[in-house]
Amino acid sequence: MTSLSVENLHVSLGGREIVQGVSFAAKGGEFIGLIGPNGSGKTTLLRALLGLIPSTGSISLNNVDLRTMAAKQRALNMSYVAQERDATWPLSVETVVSLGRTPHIAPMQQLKAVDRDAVEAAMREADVADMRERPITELSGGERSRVLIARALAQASSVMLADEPTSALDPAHQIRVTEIFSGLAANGRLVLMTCHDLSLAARFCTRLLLLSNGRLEADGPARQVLTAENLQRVYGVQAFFGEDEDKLVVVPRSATG
Amino acid sequence: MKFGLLVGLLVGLVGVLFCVSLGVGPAGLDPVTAFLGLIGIGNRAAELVMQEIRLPRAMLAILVGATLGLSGAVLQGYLRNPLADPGVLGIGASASLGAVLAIYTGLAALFPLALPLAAIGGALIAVSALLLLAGRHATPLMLILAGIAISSLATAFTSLALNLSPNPFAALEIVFWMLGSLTDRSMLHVWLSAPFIVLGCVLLFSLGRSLDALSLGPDVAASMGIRPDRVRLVAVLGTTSAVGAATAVSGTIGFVGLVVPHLLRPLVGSQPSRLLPVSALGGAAAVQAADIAVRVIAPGRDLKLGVLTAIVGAPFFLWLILEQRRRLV
Amino acid sequence: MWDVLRAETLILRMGMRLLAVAAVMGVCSVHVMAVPKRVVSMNLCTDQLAMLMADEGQLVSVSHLASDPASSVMVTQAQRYAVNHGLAEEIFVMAPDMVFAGTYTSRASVAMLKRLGFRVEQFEPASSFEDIEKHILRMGELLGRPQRAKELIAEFHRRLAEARGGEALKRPLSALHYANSYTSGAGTLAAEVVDAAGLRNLGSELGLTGTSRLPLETIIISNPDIIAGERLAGEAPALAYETFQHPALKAILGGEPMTGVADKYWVCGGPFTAEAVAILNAARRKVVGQAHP
Repeated sequence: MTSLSVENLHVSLGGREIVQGVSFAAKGGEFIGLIGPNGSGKTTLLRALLGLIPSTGSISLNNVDLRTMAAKQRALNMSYVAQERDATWPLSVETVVSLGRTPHIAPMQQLKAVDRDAVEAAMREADVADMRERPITELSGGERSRVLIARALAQASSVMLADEPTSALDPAHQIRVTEIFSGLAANGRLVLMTCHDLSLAARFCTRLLLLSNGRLEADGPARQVLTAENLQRVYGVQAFFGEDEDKLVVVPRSATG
Repeated sequence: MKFGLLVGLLVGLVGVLFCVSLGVGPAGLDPVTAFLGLIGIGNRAAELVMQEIRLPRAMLAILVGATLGLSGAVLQGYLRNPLADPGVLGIGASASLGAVLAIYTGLAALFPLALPLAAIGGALIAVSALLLLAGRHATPLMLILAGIAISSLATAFTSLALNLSPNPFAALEIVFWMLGSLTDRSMLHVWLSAPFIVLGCVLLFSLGRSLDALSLGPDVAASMGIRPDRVRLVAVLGTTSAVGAATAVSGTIGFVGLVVPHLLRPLVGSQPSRLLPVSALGGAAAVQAADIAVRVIAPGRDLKLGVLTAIVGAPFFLWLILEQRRRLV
Repeated sequence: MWDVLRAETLILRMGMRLLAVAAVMGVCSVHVMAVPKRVVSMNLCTDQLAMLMADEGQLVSVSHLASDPASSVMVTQAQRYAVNHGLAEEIFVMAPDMVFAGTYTSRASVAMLKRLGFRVEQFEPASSFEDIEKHILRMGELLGRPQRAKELIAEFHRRLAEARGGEALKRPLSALHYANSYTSGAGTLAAEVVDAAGLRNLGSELGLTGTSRLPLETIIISNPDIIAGERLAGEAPALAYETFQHPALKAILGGEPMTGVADKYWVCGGPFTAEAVAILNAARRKVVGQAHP
């Protein structure tokens, strides 16, 4: 089973320490919501896990140090859905999803049958198969988000990191996108998603990590993390807490400064 | 399948233009004489004309055109900017400066390889300055402004070097370096430039998949196993090697690298990796066509290639800027 | 009106010096035919004719090109005169009573000098032997040395007669090949030189007139007996000379060098132009000799 272990992770960017000693361990099947205020270091943490920026501390995947892993090997284990959804060129949906196979193809080779199957499966899973011919630049935000998730799915890695995949989406799309991740985790993958919608995170994630000023403030199930005290301390808000179908509902109602 | 057809058509076009190019010239050889001369069984004069004058010219048109088309496609893909092109970014002008210094100081006469090497050096300085000035995440506007600055500076130094030359012809040759020509080039020029052009093009072709990945942004590309530092190094070396060597023998021929990839992009579904081979072929066809046109339109006038490519390319560039603006608004 | 203003500005700047010059010019304008005493030449061709004809002390200055060995046959003689670069101000301070210029050189300077009241005599470039004689005669009249002019013309005729190829039955084809693949067509001095050497001129035969481009390809396919031109050794490099290194040219020359006719013999017409005829005639004799041993 997949296991990810992060110990005492520090990241400095431009002389400022953005992530300050984060430690956690996670395994396949978990759907982890990474929450915290703007600037708390969520994106930086994800980018450090992916090896996009230098960091200190230890990151190991299945007991192998991620930093010693070749770029391609890491790509086979970890995929990424970036917050930015801008596309430079009007590539077709199918082409974009196929890009997910990049680490699987040897140099100077074309997509093989196994790759095509993976692309098909990813498109079905993210429900974008019907729009395969359409240029990504002409899709709505929600459609585009699903296509980029399908792209990451096609990479067929055991760990998936997603940076605010639900931002700027309407409620229906937010739920559809989150359900996709939820389904992935149910199938044994490890999903780590940053999110600002606390109720959405509480409803779908199996575990929440609350980040504040680069430090992990809380780690555990939603009810343990989303306490009035934590929200007050980290976000500076008071919230309405409710219950819906056995799930926690959190609605921030006043900022306390 | 459709992609294969497009490549086939372009190969055919380049082939036809190559033959036409071999058939056009002031000597007015008929096709049979020309062909016999080319394969070396005609009369001596026809043989010399075909093998020593027209063949190198047609070969250089393909090499230079492919370089411009391919490097334009790579630069656009790498910088994620449809306005990028070795000419617009000042790489051609800087390569010219290197070549000018090698030729007019007499270095190239002593050591012929100094010509392509100096031009490649000039191009390398330009690309480094460009990446330094504008950076990886520059807006199209910043890149173009940086390119204009580099281009103007290189052109000024080229002009200075030519004016300082004691040779009375040198000052007039700024026209060649700014507008480019393949008139009376010889096999020597082919041998001097071809190895660097081929090496550069091989490097550039190897970037196809990386450029595809980069179209989703540098972070996502890196998460798919693309190494940004390696891509940058290969792109810089490939562009400078091919563009430098091409410029050393042909001067700067503008707009081919800008227009050709842009015209062909919709035909390959905008996929950068597929754009590379078709842009190389398209560039070769474009320069061939321009080089035929200068000989047909104004025989005996030695019209410069860049005149034609600019007349077609500059209005296109303006249109492209308008398109960009429309997209931003 | 504007010109007058500009001239006045210059007058103010030049101050007293002008008064002296104006006085001299006043004298000149009365006695038009007076023999000039301070002559300045600002064109290579008038430089050489003036040096050949001027009396001791009569010629003050010649252009800088007169001491350029690539262009001038009279480099040594030119050392004896002050150098000018064809600039109006430079010539103004020399206070000449006669200025020689070409019709195409330094137009702005010539116009300025004329406005300032200097006597400027302009000479067209010589495009035939007849032009050379006319120029020598005119120069002789202007310098008050008609006798010297007659001697020079006689010398030109004598040298030409020695150099001429005569009305040979066999007239080989000659291609003139200059830097940047230029050649001389019909109606040029070079074409007459080629003709006088007993050769046919490729440029003229192809219907070219004046100085125009003759692509290397056309030269190769025309298969001339002689290819003449010159690239001076030691000259600074330029793309213009690459045509002389072209493998196709080397091949058709069969490893021999081009027939070297230095520019200085025919960029300007003079008695020395006969030397170009002699060089080409020697080349012709070699070709004819090879063909009929």
